[in-house]
Amino acid sequence: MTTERVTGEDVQAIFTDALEVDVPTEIDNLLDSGHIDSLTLVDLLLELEERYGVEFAADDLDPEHFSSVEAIADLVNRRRSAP
Amino acid sequence: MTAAETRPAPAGDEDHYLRLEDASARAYNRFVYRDSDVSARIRRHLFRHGVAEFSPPHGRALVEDGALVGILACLGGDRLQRTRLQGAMHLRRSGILDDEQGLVDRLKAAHAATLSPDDGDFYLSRIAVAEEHRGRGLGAHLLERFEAAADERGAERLVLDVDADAEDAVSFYRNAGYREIGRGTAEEEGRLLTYVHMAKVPS
Repeated sequence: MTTERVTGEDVQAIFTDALEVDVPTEIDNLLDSGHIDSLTLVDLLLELEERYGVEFAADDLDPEHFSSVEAIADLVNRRRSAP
Repeated sequence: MTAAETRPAPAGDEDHYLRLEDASARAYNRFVYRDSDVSARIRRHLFRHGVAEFSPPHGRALVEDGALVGILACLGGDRLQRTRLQGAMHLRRSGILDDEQGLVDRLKAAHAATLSPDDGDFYLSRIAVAEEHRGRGLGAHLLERFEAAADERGAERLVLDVDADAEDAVSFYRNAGYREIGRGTAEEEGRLLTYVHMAKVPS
């Protein structure tokens, strides 16, 4: 059985529903633009870990991975497919 | 000219280094932590795990004749974001923030009040001179070291946040060529924290 890929929409839904944060989809960099702070982003990552059974390492905490909700979804998918 | 030199923090007495760190970020630490014991515990935790902006390699101790006389912490915009993420992840995973919603809210508010440096920016995170060594030009000396470090990295812009109530500090940076580029304010439980964002383009 294959697992469906996590999408940017899934990530956005967690922002909205679990963290009660509105995140615009069409911006260059979530952190640069000041839309979310580091703690809110970390809370999102912990929520993603729980929901999708992944674990993020210190090396994953690279601002480049968090440029958009799609980029975050990609990171989750990479961690899910990792052995 | 001083014979002082910088070394990776804490360069000896960790308590002394952290007291100077507290002096360099007093408005932030008071706003966020409220309680001095909580402040000391969390800042020490972050420092020791290497996930604070004032941990080495960003954090340096200014040492003269074997004594700690000042501190300087600075890093590029990309490193700053990374360090803040690592610090936030560390605090969450350690459980220190569990049942501390007020502290979480204050941390978020304070961070939203700071400027968001670009990748080409070099950020002055902490700077302080020990009280008994003030008036000797060591602050200007540290600022020169910050600018030299930025120059080595080819930074496009020097940026910093300064407590708006610290008029002497704002004047100090203004006299050194920094200009106000904006302000950020945090308000939690009736208390305010206002930062003046300042920048200077290297000549």
